Amino acid sequence: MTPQKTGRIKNADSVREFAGAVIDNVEKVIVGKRPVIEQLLLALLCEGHVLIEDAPGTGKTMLARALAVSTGLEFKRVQCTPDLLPNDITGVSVFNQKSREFEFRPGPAFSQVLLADEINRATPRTQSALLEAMGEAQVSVDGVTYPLPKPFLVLATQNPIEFEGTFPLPEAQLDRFLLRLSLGYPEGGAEDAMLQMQQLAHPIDRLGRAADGKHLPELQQQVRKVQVVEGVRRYILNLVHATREHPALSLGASPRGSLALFHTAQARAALDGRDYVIPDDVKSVAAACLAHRMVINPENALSGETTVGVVEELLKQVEVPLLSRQA
Amino acid sequence: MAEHGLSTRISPSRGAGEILILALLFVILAAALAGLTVALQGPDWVALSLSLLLALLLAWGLAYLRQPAIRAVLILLPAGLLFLLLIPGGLAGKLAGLAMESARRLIGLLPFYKSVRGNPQQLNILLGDLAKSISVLLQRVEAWTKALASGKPAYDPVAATLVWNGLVWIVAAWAGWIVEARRNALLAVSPAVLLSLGTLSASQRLFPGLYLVLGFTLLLTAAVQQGSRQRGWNTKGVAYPARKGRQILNSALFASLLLVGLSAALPSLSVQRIRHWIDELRRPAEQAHGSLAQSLGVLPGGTAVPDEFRAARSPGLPRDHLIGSGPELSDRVVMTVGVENLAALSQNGQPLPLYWRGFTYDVYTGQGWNSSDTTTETLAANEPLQPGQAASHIPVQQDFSPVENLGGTIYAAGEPVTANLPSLAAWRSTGDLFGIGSAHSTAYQIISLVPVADEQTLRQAGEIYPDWVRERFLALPPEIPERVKALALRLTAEALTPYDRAVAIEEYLRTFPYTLDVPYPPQQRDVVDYFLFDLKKGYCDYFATSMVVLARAAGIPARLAVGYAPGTFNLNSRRFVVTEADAHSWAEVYFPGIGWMPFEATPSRPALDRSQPLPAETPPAIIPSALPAGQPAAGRPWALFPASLIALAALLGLAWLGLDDYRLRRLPGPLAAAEVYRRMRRHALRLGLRTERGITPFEFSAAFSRRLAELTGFGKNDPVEAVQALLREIVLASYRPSEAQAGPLAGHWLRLRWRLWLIRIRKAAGRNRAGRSSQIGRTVA
Repeated sequence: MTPQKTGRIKNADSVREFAGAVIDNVEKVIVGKRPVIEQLLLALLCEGHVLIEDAPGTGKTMLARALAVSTGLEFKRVQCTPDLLPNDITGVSVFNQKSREFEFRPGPAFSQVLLADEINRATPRTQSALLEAMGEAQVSVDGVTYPLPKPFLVLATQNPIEFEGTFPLPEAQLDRFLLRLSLGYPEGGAEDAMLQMQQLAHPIDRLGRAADGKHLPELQQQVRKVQVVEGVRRYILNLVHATREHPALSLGASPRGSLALFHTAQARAALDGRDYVIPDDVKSVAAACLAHRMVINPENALSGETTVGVVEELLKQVEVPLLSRQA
Repeated sequence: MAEHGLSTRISPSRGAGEILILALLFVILAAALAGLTVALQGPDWVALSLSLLLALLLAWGLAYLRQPAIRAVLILLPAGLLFLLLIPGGLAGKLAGLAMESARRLIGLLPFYKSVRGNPQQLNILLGDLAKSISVLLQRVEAWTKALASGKPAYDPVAATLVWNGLVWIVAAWAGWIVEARRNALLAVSPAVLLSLGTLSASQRLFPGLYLVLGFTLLLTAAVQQGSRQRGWNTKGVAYPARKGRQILNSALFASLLLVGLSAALPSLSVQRIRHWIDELRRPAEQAHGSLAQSLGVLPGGTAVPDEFRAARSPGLPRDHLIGSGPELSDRVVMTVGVENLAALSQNGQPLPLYWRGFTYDVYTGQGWNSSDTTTETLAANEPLQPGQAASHIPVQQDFSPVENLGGTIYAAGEPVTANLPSLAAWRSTGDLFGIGSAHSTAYQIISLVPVADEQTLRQAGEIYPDWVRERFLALPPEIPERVKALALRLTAEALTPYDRAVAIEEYLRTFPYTLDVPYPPQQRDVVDYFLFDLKKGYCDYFATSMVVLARAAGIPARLAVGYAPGTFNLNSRRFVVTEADAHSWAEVYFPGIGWMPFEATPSRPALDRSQPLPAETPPAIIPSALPAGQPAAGRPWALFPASLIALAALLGLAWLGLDDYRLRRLPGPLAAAEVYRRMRRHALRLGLRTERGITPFEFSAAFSRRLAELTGFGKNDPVEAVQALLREIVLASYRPSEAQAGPLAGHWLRLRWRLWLIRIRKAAGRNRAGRSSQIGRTVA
């Protein structure tokens, strides 16, 4: 829980320490959701973005805020509505009367942790502006391109219940999210603990910084160095290929999905303090990485099957290679 | 998949490469085997080659079919044992007879073929016969092994043949398996080469065929490497020209020829070095190795006796005992012999036949007999020649009255002790008398020890022979034809003791007709071979010589004795009357602790009857105080059968474990990890753990731990922790290969595997009980 102060981060242990400190800190606010918090950290370590699908009131905003506070990153929030314009997110050039020049006013995209609440309520135009910012780490306003600060994490939320007046994200856009998470309702005991905790004041107000987000680029580099042997790469590819051939799916995972799985598994290994990936890493992140990139056949969807279910089924079927072919 | 389609399209004719590898391997092994046969006296090379070919093909086929190693061992071992029993063990005929009889019984069960049904007892008799034969074979090998363990060489050709065939089987099976399953030519060939080299070095012989082995091994290595590379290219879908393989093989052929040429040009360097090196290694354990080599029938090479010794022979005494055409034998009386104490030597009212022996011969030349170098000893009258007492011997005083001039030869029944005239004794070595001569051709009295051991005693004599007996009385000339040796082995294969073997040979020879009218044997032809396979008739010299040679070929020390048969017992004078027609030669067989016993192979003479011990009033024959340990009584051949089987199985199991551990340690870490993981998965499956295909090692670890805890309870000695630790190492070795080491992994596995086996055995044993209780539970529920 000691904040990382100075010094270069040398090994995989530094990732684990950083993540451990952040997770412990966030858990003071979000009770009983450690796996989700960990996955959020994975996205942060992979420079990826997260789509959170959940019912209202499950703590999505609080999670994003707690993460920003714990890492000392700048936090902004956008509430998406149908009348939200792209410039409301990216920023706008306004004419300065004094200097008689156009002056760029950065929008909420110019932050480090951006919460885009109910992204499916925004118009496709606004959505694509946000997604461009996510994908390119830059925004273009009036023909001028502005780089976004680093690290940059977008947490987009979606309400899976309401479909009235929404613009569901198309597959191509969904593919840009590294992970899709779901917080879910707290377990019985956790909810009670939450009630007690928030009786007097919300703990987020007292939450301090647990680690320095300035180290994140170095940690992200560290994650990329985690060793992935040929056997594990083959496992990832076999899994992704299996989604493309699965009869219940009309669209399997994309090559970007393989890349996401590869990278997230690296982060998962680093989070556990390992400098090599094991198949368990791949398994633990496969559903979050792949499920939202796949499209299920309507008739299978009607019979209650989900893409998450398909991924879980494949994880049971696809054999785990132990041996690298070169060895 | 697309990848698969590609590989099948560009795959060249894989079969040709495999056949080339197999043929090369066979040539190498056959050359190594030829090296063996150069150095060995016993085993038949036809059986050895058959063993080699069968084992090689079987093992290779199993590997080709991707059978797991344990299954291959389980198939190869019984197949090898069956082969050993069938071909070198000589049970093929009996098994065939048994199969015929069973078939007949089965056909007889059909209603229409009642007439075919044979004698119902026949099958039982055949079965019992076969079982007895197998048991005898096993006991011979066991006795041989025990003698070997005790450090005293005991050459038993049948046991040695079985052992050599077994070795060749193992070596060939190893080669076939390794080359196909592991794609490692050197590892495959090395046991065969080591066996050949070791044997050659023990026999101090040179064998140029080893260059062939060297060259072909190089070629094989190239072929195997190329084959596995092409396989790799095929699976990865790399396109390559088909002529590539041929080019590589051609260069390999060139390199091999060059190397073989070079090494053949410098022969003294390589072979001498290797021999010298092995000699250095052997020095501390010279004795044991020497006896091992002798027990396996490795021929000693150069003579140990320097030639100067030969020149210092006693003049006149050694002579060629020529086996010519019919000697002119007449009824002229040569001598009469009176025997004191004859009653003591009577059996069933008949006097024990006494053979008046003049000389003994130890060297068979192929055309006749000779004696080794002798030293002479001058003896005064009544000076004892050797101790007057021996086990199973009775001192007998004889009184010889020559009628003809005996040429100065002193005859005596059995082992002479003392004569009442000055004489000259010629010894080959202490206890090995060639003969006695005397300048005085007069009547003389002599006391000698007559062997009186009965069957039972002779059977229990064992096979631990003194050095001088082994060196001289088992020797055969190298030119002796194979079929003579084969005949000896066939005759004696099922006899348990040397005595029974000697009797078997004796009985066989006594079926040939006796005649004095035989042509002179052809020059350069082995007399025994000529007699046994062409002439098939003859007189005493042929019979006695054949008996000695066959006995030696069967591993029984024997010598030729020359003198006179007992003659006719004149009841009036109570003397034996010996005529020229009684001139005789016979075989004598050595029994440890007893000495030389005469055997009568000539059918015209009455067979010697040793079925009953001498009556009690005779001077007590001293029973050998120390019976050779572990010699089973002939009456119960089954006694040690299961024990020896279990011991053999345990030994094989241990050897396999050691070999397996060694192999695991030699593997690269990730490969060793994969192998151990595969085995653990198999154990888990057998222990009833069903897992999904996509299980990771850690998930498997958890599941297996749970299953083991269920099976064993959380005992103090529970293997759960060991399983988890081992799987952690497997994961590390597989997914972080830079730090993988096979050593600790193999060590952990070695400790864990027997626990898993124990749990499996316990589970299998408890299955019945558990099944019953769960059934009860179900019915109650």
